[in-house]
Amino acid sequence: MKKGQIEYMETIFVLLILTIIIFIGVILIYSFYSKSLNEKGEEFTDIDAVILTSSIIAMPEFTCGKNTNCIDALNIWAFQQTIHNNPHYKAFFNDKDITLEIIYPTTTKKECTDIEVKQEGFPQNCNYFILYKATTTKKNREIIQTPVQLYIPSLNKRALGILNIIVYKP
Amino acid sequence: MKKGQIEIIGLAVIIIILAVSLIIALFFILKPKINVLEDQRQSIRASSLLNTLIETNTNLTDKNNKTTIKDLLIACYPNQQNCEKNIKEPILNKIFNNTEYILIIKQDPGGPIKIPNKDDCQNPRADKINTDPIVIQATPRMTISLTLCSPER
Repeated sequence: MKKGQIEYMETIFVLLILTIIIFIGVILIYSFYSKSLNEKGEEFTDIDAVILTSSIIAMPEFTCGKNTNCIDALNIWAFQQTIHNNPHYKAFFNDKDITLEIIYPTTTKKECTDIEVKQEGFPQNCNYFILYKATTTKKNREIIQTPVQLYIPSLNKRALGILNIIVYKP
Repeated sequence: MKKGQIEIIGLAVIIIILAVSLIIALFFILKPKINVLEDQRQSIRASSLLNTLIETNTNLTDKNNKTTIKDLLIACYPNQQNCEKNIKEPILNKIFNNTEYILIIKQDPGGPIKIPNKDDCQNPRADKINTDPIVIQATPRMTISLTLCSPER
């Protein structure tokens, strides 16, 4: 092999290695960028859920009126009667399951439906309300929990509850 | 300078550039992330729990029984009479056992009472978030606060 040929081969090798290094660099930058975009997406979903939690507690459909951080059990019942196929709430709650669970005083482990709320033993006869159920096929989910006060107007009493918002992510 | 020496210097420069780039990349990859939003959310959640807790009624069957957890705390702690039976065992232990919260009741005079009965977070490296104490009685002064033991990040 002549000297010129060797130098030519050397140049080709240098270019090849430089191309590989640049290629690896581009892949690394792209993966970091894509990872940070996913993290931002999750952060915004979290912020959205936190804002939704505050909104639900303040919504006239649920609030006790007098106290902050308080949800009226009778309002939930009334809301459950009107929610079916309501496009406004479907757009507002989107891909989220929203439930309210009574933590203390302890009550019977059962869903609070129309029947339970109308019974004399309410709220001892059930322990959670389903405020909204998402219609989604997404499997990835995150639960955001906030302690709230559940006001029972028939007794003029307050129970300790947890508002669970399950956010479904793509 | 001979041609061979110049090429070796060129190679060394390339290696130095690559090493510096790698160090900078590692710095960004390994930098611990501080999630301020999560801390704020946990702090709001803890304060919200504390405010809700003290106003909670202890009996949902008897219409005339309007006792709240705050009433029980005030009645119980000055003399420590029936504390275990009336509030710690049936109420506060049930709520706070197996949670990441520690409820701290401070009374004047007297030392703080912690529920669950542990001095600190189970994981000593856990991040701690403390809520502002709520005064539930002025004289003798009694306050309650919550410590949240977050998993270490």
